[in-house]
Amino acid sequence: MKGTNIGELEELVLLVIGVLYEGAYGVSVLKEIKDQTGREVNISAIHAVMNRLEEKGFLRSEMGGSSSTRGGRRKRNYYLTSSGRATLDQVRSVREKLYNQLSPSASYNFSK
Amino acid sequence: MSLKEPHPPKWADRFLCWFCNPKLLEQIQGDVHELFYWRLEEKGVRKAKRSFTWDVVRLFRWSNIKGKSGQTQKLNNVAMFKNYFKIGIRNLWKQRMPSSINVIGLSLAIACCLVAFKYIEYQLIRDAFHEKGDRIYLATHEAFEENEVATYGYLSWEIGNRVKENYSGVKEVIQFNNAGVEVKFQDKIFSENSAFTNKAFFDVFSFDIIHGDHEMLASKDKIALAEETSKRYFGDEYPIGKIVKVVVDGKDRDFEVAMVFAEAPNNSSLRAEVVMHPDWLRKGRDPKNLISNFFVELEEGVNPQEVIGQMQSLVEVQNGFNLDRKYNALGLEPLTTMAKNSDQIIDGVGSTPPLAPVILLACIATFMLILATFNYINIATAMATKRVKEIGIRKVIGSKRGQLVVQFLTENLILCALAMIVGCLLAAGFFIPKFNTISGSTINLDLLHHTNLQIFLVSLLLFLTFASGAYPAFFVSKFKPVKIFRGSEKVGSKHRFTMGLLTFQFVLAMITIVAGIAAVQNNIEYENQSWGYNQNDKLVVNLSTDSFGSFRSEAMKNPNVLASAGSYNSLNRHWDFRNMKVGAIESDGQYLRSDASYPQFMGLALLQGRYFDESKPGDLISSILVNETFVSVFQLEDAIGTLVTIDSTNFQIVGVLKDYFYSSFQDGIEPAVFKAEPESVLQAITFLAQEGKTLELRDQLEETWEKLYSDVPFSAHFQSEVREGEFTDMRGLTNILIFTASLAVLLSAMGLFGLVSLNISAKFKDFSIKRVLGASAMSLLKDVYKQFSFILILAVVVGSVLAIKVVNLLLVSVYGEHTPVSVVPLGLAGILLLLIAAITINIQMRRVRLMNPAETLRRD
Repeated sequence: MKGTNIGELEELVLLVIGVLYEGAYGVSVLKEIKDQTGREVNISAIHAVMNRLEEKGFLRSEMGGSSSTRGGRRKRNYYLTSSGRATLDQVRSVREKLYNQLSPSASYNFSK
Repeated sequence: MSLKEPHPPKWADRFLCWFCNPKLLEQIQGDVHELFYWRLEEKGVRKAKRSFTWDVVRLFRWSNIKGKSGQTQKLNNVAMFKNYFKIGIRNLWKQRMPSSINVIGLSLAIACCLVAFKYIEYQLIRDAFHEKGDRIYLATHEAFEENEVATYGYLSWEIGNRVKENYSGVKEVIQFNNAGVEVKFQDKIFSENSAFTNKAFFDVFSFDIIHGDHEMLASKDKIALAEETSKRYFGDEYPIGKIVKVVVDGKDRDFEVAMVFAEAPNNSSLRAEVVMHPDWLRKGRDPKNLISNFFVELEEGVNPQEVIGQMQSLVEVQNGFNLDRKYNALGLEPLTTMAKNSDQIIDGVGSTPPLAPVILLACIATFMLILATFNYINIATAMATKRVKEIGIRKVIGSKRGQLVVQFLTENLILCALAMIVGCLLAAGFFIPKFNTISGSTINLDLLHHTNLQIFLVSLLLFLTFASGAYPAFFVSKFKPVKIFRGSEKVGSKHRFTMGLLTFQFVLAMITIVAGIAAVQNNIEYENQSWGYNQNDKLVVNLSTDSFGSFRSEAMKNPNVLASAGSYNSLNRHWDFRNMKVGAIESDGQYLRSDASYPQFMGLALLQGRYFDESKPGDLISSILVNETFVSVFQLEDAIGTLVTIDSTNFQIVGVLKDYFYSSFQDGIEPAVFKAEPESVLQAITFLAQEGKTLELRDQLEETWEKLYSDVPFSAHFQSEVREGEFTDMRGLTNILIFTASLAVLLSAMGLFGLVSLNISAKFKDFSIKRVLGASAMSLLKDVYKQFSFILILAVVVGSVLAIKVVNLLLVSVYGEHTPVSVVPLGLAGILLLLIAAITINIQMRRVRLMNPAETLRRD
């Protein structure tokens, strides 16, 4: 099913937005990813991903409040939609299904 | 923490604002700014700034860039431009006077540019109309002569014929010779320029065939005529099949007209009135000894270098003929560059375009363009400052500066387009016909069929629009609405730029006036220069050796004839350069043959020795007279009695003549020799008429002639008119310069007029109040004068200095030796310019003098 497939960074952003729940916008997502995973992602990548996810219908957005460090500019807050949540669930179930089938002996054989 | 809080790099921020889609800008800019301040705390200023820049660069991606989702905004553009047009036209109408100054100025400049463009194109682009032009080459060879290797534009017939036979890639070879022929038709004799060439000439070159078929030219007895020539012979009758006589080998021969072709365009190097079979030139001679120009047409896509490489084998063939002429190499010169390079190709086809008039015209056109553009900038700026309120309102409503610039440029485009139309009409109706009569060229304005011209016009229009409109547009769109409405924006206070332009205009005007006056001055001196002999009251009749004696004796009966002298060729109507040798020194010199009395008769002054003496038998055989230059060139101490070898015959100098001009003044004087001849070779008689009776004498002699020889036309000229052509050229040039000067003065005066007028309009209220308080018109005038007098005087001074340099350069190229620019033309030009400026200002001041202060003050 094309359209519901999402990439790794997309999944990550989607998850983080879900985690932040309210108050997810460009910078907060970027900081959260850094805090939680240690990955430094460029802001432009975050914007691109969030736009793409919004187009796919996994996110919705609205203009939110401003702060002084933003020079009075408003931020765009993102929220997880139900289809976004469903996609996350689906991705997770596929992962877990595959993970559970891993043969323990094969993967811990480090000498080879 | 320092007092100054660090900010993100400004340029990066601006860049972001510039490229970013306005819909996305707020959130994106907010994010990067927030990140910047976060990093500032964590990582320090430098790193934060660097990261900010990097972020902005990374954000420069397609989805964020402007315009992608801004479609809805552009729907209104058509309406907007319609509005601009309407406002523009209304504005032109509202400010009629300055607008018409602009249009007139620009259209004059455009007309000048058109003339210059047409003339320069006509001079520089030669032979470009042939369809196969890029495949046609002139065959050349290199040879060693006179101690250097030179390129020659011809081949021997034998070699030329072999080029076609032997080489792949060569499609056609055209042999081409030009020679004068005499054509006889119904008892009339015409001297025509004939081309001797093969019939394929019309396959290779794109000359239009009007009647007949060029295949017929394969026959030796058929000839082709140019259209004009055919009309001259046959009028409107159908020419094909008509018989004309051509003198070949001294005998009349019948030829049938088989074809009529359109005259070659002016920029063609190949021209002919008659086309004949090449065998008539060959007359059975060995083709090895004959030379001719050869044109080679290559097959499509063939590299000329390859053909040149193959052709080198012909060098040995030629040198195997054991002739004097030894080739070093063979080459091909493209048809399109043939004329341009003709100074490097000896005896090729075509001639190099003259550069001096091209440069002069280009300069004039540029001058005019600069003048008109500056006028425009000044007046448009001043005009636009009247519209600051409109600009203010537009800005308040939400116009961006860019939009205002576009609006002003649109208005500008309207005006320039208008000027372009007027300019084209001016050029077609007035400038080009006038120029044609002056310069003897035949350029015309064919807007519809001339691609280069169209490109030129469009680019000129765009150039003018931007060159003249950019500054005013940016200047007025800079005003801040708040200041405009508060009234604190001092509009029109930016005088320095405007005044600078005006000064420059007047400097240019000054230079052109000086050029005009200096040219007139030099021309008068040029024409009054002594010719070195007495040219007045002399009538020269050209005839044949057979009729010489009989006509002379008949003519001498005429009471108006005072005296006569015979000559082979007459002064200023001959061009006979011969190689002369005295001892080891060799030089070329003029060689003029006449009877013994001719030199004295023409009033040539004797410096040393004696004139020819008819009674001395040796004088008609081996005596010569030489000029002063001859003595100095051959370094003779005692000229009389010296032996001179001319074409391997020895002559003895019997007298030295004062230098005289045997050609134009510019050609200078080279060694010249008079040789006395017996009556049997003379072909011209010069009659000295009673003073003021020359015209009468000519008519009487013509009658006498017709009684004696009714079948040959009478041919005569006045000795004083032999240089008319030269003088006409000079007068033409002077006229062009005077015309340029008047245009330049007109343009700069118009510019001044417009500026003064706008200036006064702006101060009208001031003036009114001053008037009410009792100021005289004179004191009001002084204000305006003060403003403009400084720049005028500065312009006259700077212009004089520049004019001395520029005009002297011009005079050197035109007159050679000339009277340098003196105080007279400079003073005259200065006074003229100041006078015109004063008149211009005064006309405007009339408005002030005549105004009714009450009326003005009541108005607002």
